[in-house]
Amino acid sequence: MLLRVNNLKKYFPIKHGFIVEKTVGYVKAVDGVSFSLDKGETYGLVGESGCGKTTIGKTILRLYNQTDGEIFIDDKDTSYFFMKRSEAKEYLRKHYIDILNKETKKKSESEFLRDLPEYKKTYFEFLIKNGENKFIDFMLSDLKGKRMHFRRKVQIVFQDPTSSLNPRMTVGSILSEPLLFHGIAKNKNEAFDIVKEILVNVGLKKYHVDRYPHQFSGGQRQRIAVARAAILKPDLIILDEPTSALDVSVQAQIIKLLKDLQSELNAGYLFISHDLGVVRFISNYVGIMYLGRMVEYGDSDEIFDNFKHPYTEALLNAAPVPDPRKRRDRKQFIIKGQVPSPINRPKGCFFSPRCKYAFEPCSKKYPPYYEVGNNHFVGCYKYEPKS
Amino acid sequence: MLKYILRRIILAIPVLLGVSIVSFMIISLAPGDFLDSYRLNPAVSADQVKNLEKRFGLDKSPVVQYFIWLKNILKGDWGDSFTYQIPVWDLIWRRVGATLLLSITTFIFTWGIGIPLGIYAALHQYSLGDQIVGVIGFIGLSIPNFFFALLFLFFAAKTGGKIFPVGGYISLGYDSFPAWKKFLDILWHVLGPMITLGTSGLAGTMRVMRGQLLDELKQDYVEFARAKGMPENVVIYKHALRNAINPIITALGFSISGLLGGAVLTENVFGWPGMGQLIIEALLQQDIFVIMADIMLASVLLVLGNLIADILLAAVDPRVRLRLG
Repeated sequence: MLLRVNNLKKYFPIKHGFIVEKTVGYVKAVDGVSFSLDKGETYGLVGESGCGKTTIGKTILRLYNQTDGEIFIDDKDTSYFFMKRSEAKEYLRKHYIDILNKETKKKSESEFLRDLPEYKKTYFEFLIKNGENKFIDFMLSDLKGKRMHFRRKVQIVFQDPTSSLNPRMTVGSILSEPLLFHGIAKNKNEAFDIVKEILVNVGLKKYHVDRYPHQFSGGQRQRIAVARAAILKPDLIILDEPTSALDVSVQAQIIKLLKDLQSELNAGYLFISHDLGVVRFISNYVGIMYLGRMVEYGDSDEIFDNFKHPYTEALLNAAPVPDPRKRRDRKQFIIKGQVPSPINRPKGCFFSPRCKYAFEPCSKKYPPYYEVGNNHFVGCYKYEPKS
Repeated sequence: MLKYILRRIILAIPVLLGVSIVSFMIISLAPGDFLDSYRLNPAVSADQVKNLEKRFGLDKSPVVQYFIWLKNILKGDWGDSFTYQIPVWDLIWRRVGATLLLSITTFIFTWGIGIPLGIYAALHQYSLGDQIVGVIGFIGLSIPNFFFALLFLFFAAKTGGKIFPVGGYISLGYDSFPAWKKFLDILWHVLGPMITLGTSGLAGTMRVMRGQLLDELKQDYVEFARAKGMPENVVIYKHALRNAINPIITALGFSISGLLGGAVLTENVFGWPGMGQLIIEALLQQDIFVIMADIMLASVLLVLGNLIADILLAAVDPRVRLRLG
């Protein structure tokens, strides 16, 4: 599995104070999200603005360190790669040593190992065999090299191609910088050869290497941004609303370019967007987010054709249908009220105050996920199996 | 490039002419002239005053005076100072050394310390260091120069002139010092006025640098540079700083025009023999040629400074192109 995200949490502290600052609360931008993604597949994250989509992307890219949770890439634990040494040790204690100690009290080591998923087994085997200290030393060894490797393997494309390209650098130097830094090209000439090749690949011309970003149109700039993400041949590309800043005709070109690149690189895409049509077109799997959690996730077609969650229902029906004869009575799906603040979320299901189906258990506890179809999960009490 | 510079210099001529006309007329519009003190003096006869008027050309109308002045300038003659009875150029030349010394050291002090401090403050936003630097900066911005100078002199006098000299340009025994000590002595004396003049500029530079860099650090391309694995140093100095430097360069161009202007109040308090003192004296005496020479000098430097800033800007930023059309 290329990417596994387990129970990812990212809280941003809110600080107040005149001279000494105190943390008075947290913005819970992402609160317990899990999903996985394989090579060559695309996972679409959908939700209205402020629901934590971009935070997930940036946390996986490790521009932020996660508050809690695990991120496995290529079945290797990368969660602690960018933490400070003390934090990394704490993470390893909490997620490996403590779990082992707790579980082995209840059952034998071999039983514990048997129940583990395959990708975690090697870590725990090493821990049991070599003891705590050696395990921590092993995990923290050559962090620099691990970080470099991580940076090569995970890339991002931002929403706004204007601010994501350094205006002082030519396209050639923007694209060749990572090649030289990661030692893929030995010298500038070699790097520029690769750059020219990829420029043609993304639909630009070879002579564009010496131009500056401001000399391109918006669509061309996004092509450069895509080229920059693809040039290191990464396994995982996070696409943070790559088409939102472009007009519709250019959007289609960029989507096509992304699809072509995917089949060429066999990369996994995490596609973050609020454009439902684009997500449906490009994604194999979709997760619908609301206030930092997924309300519904599963296969793309299943979600779009057979949505279950009241929020998904409202969200999907809010999208306009291009056929005037198929006009729906949209009024019945309009949800009342505002999105609650992620600082002070409602008790129970976060959507319950706005949900027209809400009933008694909804305001008590956040619902677990129920399987309602083939690889289709919903976090809503409405679908609780009757026992 | 050469064409562009030439064009800018040619375009500067009408600007300078305009400046000279306006300032000459404004000075002439002020009531009285240099000879007023003679006129009021009973020991000087009316005939003598008439003679002097004729000699200085003050009997003619301001317009005629202006054209005579302009004609002489074109011949390279800047006129004589009424007060000192020597050519204006000689008078200014004597003061240039001290003024340049003060302004160049202030320049280095302002930019050399302000830019690194601004970068530090931006990289450690909201930290204790940032707060301290910010407070010092705002004190520097808001304290008037003459008051700061007085405080400085007070401190120097209280410590017996051992840490800092109590005003002046050189020590008493300057002539007997060996060459290296002469140099150090002047440097020691320039510290006071330099710090006084530099603090406000330093604070401004620092705040601008901090704000600009913070703006750039928030851009997506900086995040991307991090994401592709660039070391933090490269991210900050190669990517962000190069984009943050533009307004600093523009401000640099403007500050070139102040190089020869001198600082009236600070020079007065410290007894620094610079241009500032000369100008205030000339203004009080209505010594018109000295004033005009100084104004023209400042204008030329302003034009040159802007030109230099534009060229520098085009050199560092590919988005700026110098247009000939």
